[in-house]
Amino acid sequence: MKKKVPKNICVTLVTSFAALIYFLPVFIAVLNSFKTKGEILASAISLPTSLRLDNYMTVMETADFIHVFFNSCLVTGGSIFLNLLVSSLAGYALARWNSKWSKFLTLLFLSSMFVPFHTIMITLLTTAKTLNLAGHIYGLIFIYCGLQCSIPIFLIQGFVRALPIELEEAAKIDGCGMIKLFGIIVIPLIKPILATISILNALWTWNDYLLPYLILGKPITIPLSQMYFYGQYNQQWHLIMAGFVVSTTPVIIFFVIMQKHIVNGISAGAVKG
Amino acid sequence: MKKKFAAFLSILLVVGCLAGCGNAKSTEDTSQAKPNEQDASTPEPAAKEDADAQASKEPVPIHLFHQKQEAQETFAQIIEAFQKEYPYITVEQEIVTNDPASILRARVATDETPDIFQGALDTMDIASGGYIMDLAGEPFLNNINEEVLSDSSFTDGDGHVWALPIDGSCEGIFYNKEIFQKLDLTPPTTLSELDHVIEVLEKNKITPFALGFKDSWTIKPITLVVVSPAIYAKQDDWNELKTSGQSSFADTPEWKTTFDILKKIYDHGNTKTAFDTDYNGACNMIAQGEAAMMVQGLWALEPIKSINSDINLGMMAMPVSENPEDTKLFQFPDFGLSISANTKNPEECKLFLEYLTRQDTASLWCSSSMLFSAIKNVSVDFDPLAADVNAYIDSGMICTQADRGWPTAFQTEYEASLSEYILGHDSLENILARLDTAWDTAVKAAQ
Amino acid sequence: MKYIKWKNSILYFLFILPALFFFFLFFLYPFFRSLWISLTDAYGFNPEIHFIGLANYWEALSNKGFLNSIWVTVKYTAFVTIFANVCALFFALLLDGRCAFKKFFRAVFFLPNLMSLIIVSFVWVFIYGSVYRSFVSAFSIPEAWQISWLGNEKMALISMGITAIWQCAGYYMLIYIASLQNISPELIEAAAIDGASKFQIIRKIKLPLLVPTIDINTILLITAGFKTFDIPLAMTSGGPAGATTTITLQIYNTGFRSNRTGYAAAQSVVLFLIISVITAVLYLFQNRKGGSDS
Repeated sequence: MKKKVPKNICVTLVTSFAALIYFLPVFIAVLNSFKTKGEILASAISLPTSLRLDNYMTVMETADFIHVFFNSCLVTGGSIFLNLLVSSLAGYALARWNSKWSKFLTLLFLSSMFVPFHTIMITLLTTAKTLNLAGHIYGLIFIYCGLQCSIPIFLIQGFVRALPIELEEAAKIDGCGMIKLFGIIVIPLIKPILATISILNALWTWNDYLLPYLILGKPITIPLSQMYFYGQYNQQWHLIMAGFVVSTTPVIIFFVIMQKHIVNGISAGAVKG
Repeated sequence: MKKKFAAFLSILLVVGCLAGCGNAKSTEDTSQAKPNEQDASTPEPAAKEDADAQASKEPVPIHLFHQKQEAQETFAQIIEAFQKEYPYITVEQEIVTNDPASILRARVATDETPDIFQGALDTMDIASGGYIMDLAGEPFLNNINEEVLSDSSFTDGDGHVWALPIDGSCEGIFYNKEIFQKLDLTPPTTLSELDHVIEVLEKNKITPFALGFKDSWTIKPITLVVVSPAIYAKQDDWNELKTSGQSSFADTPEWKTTFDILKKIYDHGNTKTAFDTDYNGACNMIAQGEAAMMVQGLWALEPIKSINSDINLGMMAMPVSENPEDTKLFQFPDFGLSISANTKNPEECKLFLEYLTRQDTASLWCSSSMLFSAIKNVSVDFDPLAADVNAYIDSGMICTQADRGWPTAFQTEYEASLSEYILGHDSLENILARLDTAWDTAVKAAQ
Repeated sequence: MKYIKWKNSILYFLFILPALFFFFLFFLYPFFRSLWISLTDAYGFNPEIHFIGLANYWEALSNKGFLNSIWVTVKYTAFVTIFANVCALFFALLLDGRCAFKKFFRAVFFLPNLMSLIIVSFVWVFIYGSVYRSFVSAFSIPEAWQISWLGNEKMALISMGITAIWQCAGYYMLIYIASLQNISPELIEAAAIDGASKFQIIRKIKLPLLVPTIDINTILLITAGFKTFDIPLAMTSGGPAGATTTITLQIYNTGFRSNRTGYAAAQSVVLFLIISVITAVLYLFQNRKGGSDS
């Protein structure tokens, strides 16, 4: 049971003030998304005269938002799924396999954390082209799997090591095969760390710009379509701000639903990584 | 909580998979310009007699990629008319204005080259990789003015034609005729006359030049209108001389003049806000009469007129010396379309290019985009300003070459050096020396 | 027995194989290919490449534009690392105290982190431009006090940094909050009974216990700072006059605009070396400090 601590008005006031300033840019953006181009030219800090939704309609139509949103879901969901599958297998094996090879492979995976994406950007694009993956969403998902698997493997390996091995050994004595053992016993045990990884992965993938831009070449995920949209509607700030609201709302809804998981995931990920 | 989480994951996946099915469609739909889809089975009565034969053909989609935002409506009109004639062909246009060069490169690199595209300055580079179809010998090239075709930056020494030139444009100084008349000024033809104009304008509290340097590409035209008459009009093989080492940036005094004039224009414009103002902002300044002059290409006419249609604008050449004979207008082929070497429908792509070279299409194109046509026997008085340009053309006071043939890797170094010079990062000697090195490296890199 | 061990080893290896497959294809191979390409004259679409030794590296290290981009990145990273840490720590301490509506405020500070950097950049371009101009004219601020946020060479990098801090501070705040919650309440209660003021508690107890977290956040912020790409791309495209051209943007321009693939690869390897050295030094530093404490 938590003790009820009396709230401090002074601290709350300071926090409210900081939050107000922090939220101001979003507030201004929302305000201007209801204005006409002329109203913004007249003043960008006045209140809109009416809550017109024209800008939103234009944005949804011209940026084909529904499709773009679904594509972003597919890329994020697909890459989380594949990554969880591949890295839980590898992370488990590396944790339980006692040999110099497993140490070598662990180091190999870990070494990738030192390499910035830009170092492999150009050659990765050539590779993707050779394998005929460029321009396809599944290609992007495969590439994400290769690029982002090392931290999940590391996290899962650490998590499995902390688990008691007795359960697995008992199962082995009962004649349980390795694959069955992994599916029935290990997966349920490592669920918490899988949740953390999914959250971290979603944060890395959803808003990523450069890799999808290079691989897909077409504005079919949210950040890509925002960039295109900005180019097409140069100076039309009322539409760009509406685009901001439209593309940010799903993320806010997601956060409100998943708040606890996201907060735990980030803290856990940072402490271990 | 865990159930909720699993539910979220599965929703994400299902939602994504659903979208995956509609994916092919969405890739094309993202361009705001939707073609007027034509039902192939019901040809218009106006269509030609062989329409029936065509209607039975398999529908052919053509993807057109360009960066000419102002031409969107015109293209839509042309495409509609084209599709009336060839009902089985659907042309989809995609307009990319934000960094089109890199996007096109990415497409080419991923084998997603659009069927027809505007390669702009990269045309020759893309062609060197074997990604563009050679148009030489196509009958529709006969509709193009010979000089345009031979001068075109899309034609190389071996007679390959890598793009169809559609129109010609020019770069010079836009000036507000009303302001000039009111202050009793005439278009300057020498540098000292230019200084006089600047002085009078500033005395009357009018900003001489509108600068929109937040878009860094707007700086380069200011130097092109100088180097074209000052260097290339006299030595059209300057590039070769430079590459072979017989000439250099440091040893060519006109390059110093070029940078001096650039600095002069920067110093006598909205200097303080130059890097806060973008291209549209600069157009706005000239349209509202806040500035009297702006160095830009003819394409700026349309945005200026859309802000203030009553403005009385003129176009003049940039003075580059004390000799009025040197004051020539920089004219060049502007918009060109290439066909991908890997297109699945080469014949249909050629049909579309052929359609663009017809006289009535060309007239429509040039009157709406306010440019000079590259097509034979088509001349359009799109604007009173055209008279100014025609005067230069009639008196032969034009020059046609500037950055054409510069090595690709040099272009970015050059653009960087311009803003560094006007902001005083380095001395002119150092900058010219750097340009010399950059040129040599770029030439070597491209070999 | 040996047979079983062998069988197990092969099974374990098969478990690792899928990950290794993707990792090899999309990380190891491109990485080593990058190292190789950086020693050649690879150029855009041209399939022909020749070995030219370290020429690309010499060019990078003598090229003013590239050296400038390193300096720009260092300045930017220093600014963001310091102030994002300060902001995150400040917010975390506020929310760790007896503040009402904690969850709500935590959400407010964290939400920008969930937005794409591209769109966040556009919002801030709007704020630095139209919104600021409206503000200036509404309050008739004298010209001498006006700031050119993105047009001034000295200011542009700071403006970009503010955007980055606004976007990322919430993330680091969450990490600070997590480690503040690990501090045992007894320790703080005991100090409070001994008559320590709130600021004394923060300075003498909380901050020293947070040092490992500050180290982690600093490492994360520095590596993220060196990889910054989206913000300069969307806000300034590197201008004015290269004042905001970060290393990554420079690599991108060399590779995809100037088309000099080999040279761009060499620049990217330099970035890799910089990041490796910094991370290694920071880890060593952190470990030695941790070692002397215990």
